[in-house]
Amino acid sequence: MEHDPNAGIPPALPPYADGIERRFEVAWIQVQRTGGLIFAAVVLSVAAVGLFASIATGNLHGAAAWATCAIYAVVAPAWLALAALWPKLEWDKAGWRVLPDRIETRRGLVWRSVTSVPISRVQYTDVKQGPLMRRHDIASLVVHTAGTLGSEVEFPGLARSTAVELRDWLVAQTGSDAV
Amino acid sequence: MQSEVARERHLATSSLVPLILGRSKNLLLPAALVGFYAREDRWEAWLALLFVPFVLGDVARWLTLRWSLGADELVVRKGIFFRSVRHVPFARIQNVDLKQTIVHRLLRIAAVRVETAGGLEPEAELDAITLDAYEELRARVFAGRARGAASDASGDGSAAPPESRTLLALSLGDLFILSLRPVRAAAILAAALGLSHEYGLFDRADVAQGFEAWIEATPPVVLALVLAAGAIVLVFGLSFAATVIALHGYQLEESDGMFRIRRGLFTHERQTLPRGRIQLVEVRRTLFDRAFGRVRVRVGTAGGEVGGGGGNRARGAHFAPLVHYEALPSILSAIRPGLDLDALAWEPLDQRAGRRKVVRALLGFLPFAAALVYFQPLWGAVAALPMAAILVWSALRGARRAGFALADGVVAWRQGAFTTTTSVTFDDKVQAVVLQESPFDRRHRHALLAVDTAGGLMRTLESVSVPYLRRERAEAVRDELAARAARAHFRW
Repeated sequence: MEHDPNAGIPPALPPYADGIERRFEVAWIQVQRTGGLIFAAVVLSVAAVGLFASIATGNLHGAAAWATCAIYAVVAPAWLALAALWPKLEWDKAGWRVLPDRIETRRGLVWRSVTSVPISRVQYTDVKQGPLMRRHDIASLVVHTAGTLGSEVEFPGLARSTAVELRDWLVAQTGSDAV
Repeated sequence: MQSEVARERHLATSSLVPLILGRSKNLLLPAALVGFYAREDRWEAWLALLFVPFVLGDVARWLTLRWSLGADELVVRKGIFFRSVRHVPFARIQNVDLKQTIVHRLLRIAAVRVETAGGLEPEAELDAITLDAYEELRARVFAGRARGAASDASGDGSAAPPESRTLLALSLGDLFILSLRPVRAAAILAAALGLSHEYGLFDRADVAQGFEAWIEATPPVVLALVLAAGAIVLVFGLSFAATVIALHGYQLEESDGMFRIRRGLFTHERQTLPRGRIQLVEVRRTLFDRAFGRVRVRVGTAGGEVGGGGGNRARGAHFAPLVHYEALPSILSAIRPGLDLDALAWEPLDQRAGRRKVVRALLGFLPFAAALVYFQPLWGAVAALPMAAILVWSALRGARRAGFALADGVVAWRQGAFTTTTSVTFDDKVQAVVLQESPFDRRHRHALLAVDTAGGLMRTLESVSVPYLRRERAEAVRDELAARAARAHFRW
């Protein structure tokens, strides 16, 4: 075993390397919600057009038509409501924290997980931004390790400046620990 | 990267022989099938001409492949139209594997695979180089390794003389134990029967008639016994033969932190694996192994392909296929000095683990039991009850015997009611520590602690993943393990 007393202890800690758990940006809820609603709306309107067409052409009629309409009338608002509410519930349970020697992300609402990555194990990082995220100036930091079960660890809703800062700090740490 | 002027080499000239033979083997089987079905002169026979461009392509590739050893890298040039030059630094090479079929052996050449971490296929494949060239390649690659290891020798104190010691050799008796795998044996038998049926062995009139006459002349009890004995001998004989072909002369040697494995009756295989490249160790003991006082050891490395039947899977399967229980500590401490599973302080799972495992087993069994009782009310119930009892028993036994251990630089997890599996990884190989909670876990204030390593590419190896821990304990273990991992330098 090679123990290096200086490994993982960086010379200058960023202000948030205090081990206190932080929430992701509130804007992340909005981004998730908008994305989820757009997806639901597209699928539901395609389904509505299909349903309307089958009834208009007479392929679907009688009890079957009524039943399908009833299912649609239940599923559509339920899906939209879920798409609107879920991101907030998920955000409530999510978080991230940075310790001097490792970074952690907490994810999931029903199946929850906390992933800890020792900083010396970071192989490389991505800062990702979708169009919606760009509008809210947030970004997602993806940390890659050499692992196999979960070699990509995502910090999904950081302020863009924080994500970049964290990335730069991580890169500076791992640069000294050549594999 | 400065590299001395290196001599470029082609593949060995004699290697054209196995190359063309290999291609012929691949093409002759379909060709033979075509011939078999089209006995008369049919146009399909012309398909055999496809052989020619394939062989020409092979020869062209063979001609254009050149390799050289630089100061600290292997350089492979290849390609006809799309040319590539690949530089593989010695320091990145995980292992150098050798494979020799009988033809290779007659010509004193070998197929060599060079693997690095990551990537799903070997970094470089030298289909046929001379044995001397292989030895030179191996020496150069791993000489760099030893130098690198010496320059930052902060642990181990392994300035041991580079003499090699044999850690494990398998006797014929060991191979026999290994071959006692009824399922695989049955599969071989089924395949053999299917093939012989396919090729009409049973349809030949004289065979069938002789067989019928013999059956009529023999008393039924004797007949059944003879048939059963014959099937058993055939099945286990075939299984034994397959094991001997794969593992004859198996030897695991260690010298200066380097493991060397050699095996094979007809096709020789040699693998070289630096100790530090081992990411995950799995010790498995079936009830059967227990009866013979043996265990099986497999290791996970970061290199290689996934499930492709290539070097990596073979190495995982064959690191130490069968070890006397008393010899296990010597093998484990060769992997990691001082590692001894019996000396670890094993910590049990939470008390409720048994209950949860029982519920889980019974819930899984419920649909099956329901179907059984629905179709056969009386006999279904009679059969389902003992099955449920066995499930409960093994769930409780499994929970009681499961546990994890955190020792100096080591994290281990053992599980299994009957077949016991112990998975071990090391601080410097831990990539991430994950704490997971399902809704059921939350109800019991439990959590699952999963340790991610680079050696889990082979899903056949059990990783360190400890369920049913009290949440507080799981968090404490997570914190300790993550901090320890951060302190230990990761080396591939």
